[in-house]
Amino acid sequence: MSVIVNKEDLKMTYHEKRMIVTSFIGIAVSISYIIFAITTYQSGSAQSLTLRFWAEWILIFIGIGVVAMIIGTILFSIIYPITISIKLKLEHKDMTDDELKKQVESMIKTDMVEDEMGKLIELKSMRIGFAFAGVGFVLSLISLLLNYSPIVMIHIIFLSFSIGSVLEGLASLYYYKKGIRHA
Amino acid sequence: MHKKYEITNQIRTLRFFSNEMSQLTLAELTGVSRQTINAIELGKYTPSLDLAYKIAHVFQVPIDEVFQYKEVNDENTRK
Repeated sequence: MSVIVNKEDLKMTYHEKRMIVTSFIGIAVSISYIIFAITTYQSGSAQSLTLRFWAEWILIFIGIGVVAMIIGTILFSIIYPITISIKLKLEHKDMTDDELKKQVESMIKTDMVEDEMGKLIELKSMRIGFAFAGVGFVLSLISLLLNYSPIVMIHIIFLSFSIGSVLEGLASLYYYKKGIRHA
Repeated sequence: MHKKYEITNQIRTLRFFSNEMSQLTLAELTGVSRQTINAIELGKYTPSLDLAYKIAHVFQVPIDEVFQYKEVNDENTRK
């Protein structure tokens, strides 16, 4: 099949868009948890003073995050080919439906490939995410030494892992945009 | 003092002389994503030796016609 479209002009690619979606979901879940935690503390209920209560809610929010990520990924997989089709159709009005379908399939297949650059970016951004989570874990231990409640400790751990995961996504996005070096 | 080097490439030119081959076709032929080909072409990513050979193989030219190892001119960066 002859390739009709020179796609350098499609500026943001599959991986970048996917990273934006996952980072956005991560940020939304983290912010929702922070708002929930603050309002629960402010309500001053006796329950909010127990570790069990917070463990339950953290597990619930992890579940919400996983479900949101699955729904986001499914929606993205549906919307992405549609946007490509519309864009191609607008740019090449003479293109037949068959050509368009083949072109979109070819683009998606190539864009979704996890190649050496993708793996390098994943490794480097994962290192940033884990570094942040690690710092958060150390801070949580320090909070115990400073006689803060274990509730503060689990909040620090949860938030550092959540923010670490968001940073991982943002770092990936940065590397995809700016490029990456082996050294 | 250490000299600085950079890897440049002629992929854009080679694509042009291969019937204006698209990045998508080159990506398909080398088994990587279009984004990776774009990043290599713009000098944002240096490919592995394996991928470099695959690219050269697609254009049927020696690898040093695709990639060049050049000394960076510091005077330009100082200005």
